[in-house]
Amino acid sequence: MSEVEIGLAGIVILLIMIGLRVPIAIALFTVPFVGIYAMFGWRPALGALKIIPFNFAASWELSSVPMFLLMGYLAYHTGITAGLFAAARVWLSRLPGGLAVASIFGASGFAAVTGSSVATAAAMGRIAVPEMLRHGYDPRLATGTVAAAGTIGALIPPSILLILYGVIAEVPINQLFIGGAGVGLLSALAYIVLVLLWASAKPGVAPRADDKFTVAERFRSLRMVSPVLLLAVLVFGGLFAGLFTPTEAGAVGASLCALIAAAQRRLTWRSFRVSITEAFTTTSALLFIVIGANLLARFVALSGVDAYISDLIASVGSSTYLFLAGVVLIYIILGMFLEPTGAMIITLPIVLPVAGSLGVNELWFGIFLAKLLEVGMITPPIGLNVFVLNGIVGRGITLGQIFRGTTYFIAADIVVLLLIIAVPAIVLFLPGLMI
Amino acid sequence: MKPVLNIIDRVILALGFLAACAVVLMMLHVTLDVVLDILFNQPLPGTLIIVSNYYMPLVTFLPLAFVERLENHVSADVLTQFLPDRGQTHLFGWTFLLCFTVCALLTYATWLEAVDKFHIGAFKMERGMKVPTWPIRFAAPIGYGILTLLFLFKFVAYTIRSNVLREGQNTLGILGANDGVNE
Repeated sequence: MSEVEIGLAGIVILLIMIGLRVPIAIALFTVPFVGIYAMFGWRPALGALKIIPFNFAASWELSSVPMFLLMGYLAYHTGITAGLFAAARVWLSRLPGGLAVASIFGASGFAAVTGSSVATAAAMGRIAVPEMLRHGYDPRLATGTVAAAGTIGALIPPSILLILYGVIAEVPINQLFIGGAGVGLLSALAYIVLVLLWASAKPGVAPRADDKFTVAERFRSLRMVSPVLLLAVLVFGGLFAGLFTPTEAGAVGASLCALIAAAQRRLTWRSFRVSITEAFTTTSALLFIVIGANLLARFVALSGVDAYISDLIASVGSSTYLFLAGVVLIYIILGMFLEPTGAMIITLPIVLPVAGSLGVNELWFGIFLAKLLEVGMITPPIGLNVFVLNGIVGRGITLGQIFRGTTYFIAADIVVLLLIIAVPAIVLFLPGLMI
Repeated sequence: MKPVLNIIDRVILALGFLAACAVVLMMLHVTLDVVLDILFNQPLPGTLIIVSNYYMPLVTFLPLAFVERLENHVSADVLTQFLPDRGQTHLFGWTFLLCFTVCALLTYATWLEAVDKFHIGAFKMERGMKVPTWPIRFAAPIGYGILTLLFLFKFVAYTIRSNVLREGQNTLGILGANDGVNE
């Protein structure tokens, strides 16, 4: 077998192993080890296992992962963000589908303290969905909005997905964050327009709330959420102004979250413990795969598969659009059995070199990928946000109803994706200002 | 089987506790560094090295078995869910053997590397401060090692058809392990 053949066989075996439910990290260690052994023998294969794990884990860039996770989990478990929906609602309830629009605002605010799509959907699901259902909203609209709005959590900084992309692709994380903020806000806007159109076209799905709020009430609601908003401004203002590194922003953010929660008497021993445990288990599980993917990247490069695939695409016609169409197709298929982070980590070692050889901007590609992968959070069969929401809302709302609700939002997502492709400046304008 | 699992669980819990300490220390250490830098223009020396070479490996490697005990390592079960129960049991059982082999190899490789660095007395320099980095190298073989033991235990439990893994509540709840967003 030639080296390229070993490389290609390795990728096929990797996919089969993952399909057979071998833990992804284990599959990611097995294939490169056996592959490098087959090509170069025992010493180089063992050598890779010796050096890569520790050297990759002992990384300052990656240390922002546990810090931003901790910040997000603290915000979630202490409930310091609970006021976001209430505040948005006070200002927006007069709009058609006002509660749904308020839940998108709430999710965008929550997204600024967490990097997780699921956590955002869960946080809003707990507060906003029961409220919408109580006001007679169509369950499809109520749950679809929240499931989709959750995906903003992984786009607006902090975003664990973008940090991992940044580390693997060697793109500065603060630039990815600010690009992600643009696309996150664009997504929020698209969802709001969709809700407004839906509720205007079929007023029955979102009966107009007759709540009236006084001006005093409106400003009181702002005071409730101001600590969280201040936190986000401070942390990301500092990051984008170049005052903080991502790790520092995450650590300061987590500390401030804990302080705000303590000041509001929401910080319990239990919420603190659970947040910390989730921060270290998630970090460990993620890095287990990331280290494996690093090994895979080495194997791919050694076998020359990346160059082979680039040449193959070039021979069909070296078009960026063709490549992007291929990428979309690959992730739609992978998205059917892998959650976004896993799908991204295992594919980057192969996709990145090809994107590089076609001259695709790496910053733009990261944001495009994050948005594309997040669509997988609300599509069957394993749209995680939908499942989590189903678990939270329970009571007579089926998975099918939620998936039907998200269909409209997927249409909005496709529009956003096409816009990102047609006008790359949506992603690149803000980061360009930083350099 | 039960006493063996109890011992493994206790080790897993102890390592989880250390990882939890590393997360909290990382947060406090970096925050203090930033505050001192902003207020007195005097950051804590060695923060970068200690975060990347001490806290990060501890958080990365020590909880590996903890995560496996919660069955939270990422895997794709979309296809295998269509297999009959017996087929799933056998497939997963033999997967444990593969996992054991791979983790044993990782333990061996990272152990060799840690011992090498121990003999060299590996260190890093930051602003004239010498920080030894070899001790935390052992976090990798320790974390992979316990994971190896856990996979071996799971494989043995499968071959002798023991139900011990499915029985009862595991003890990791102390760290709030079953109350997360993703549960």
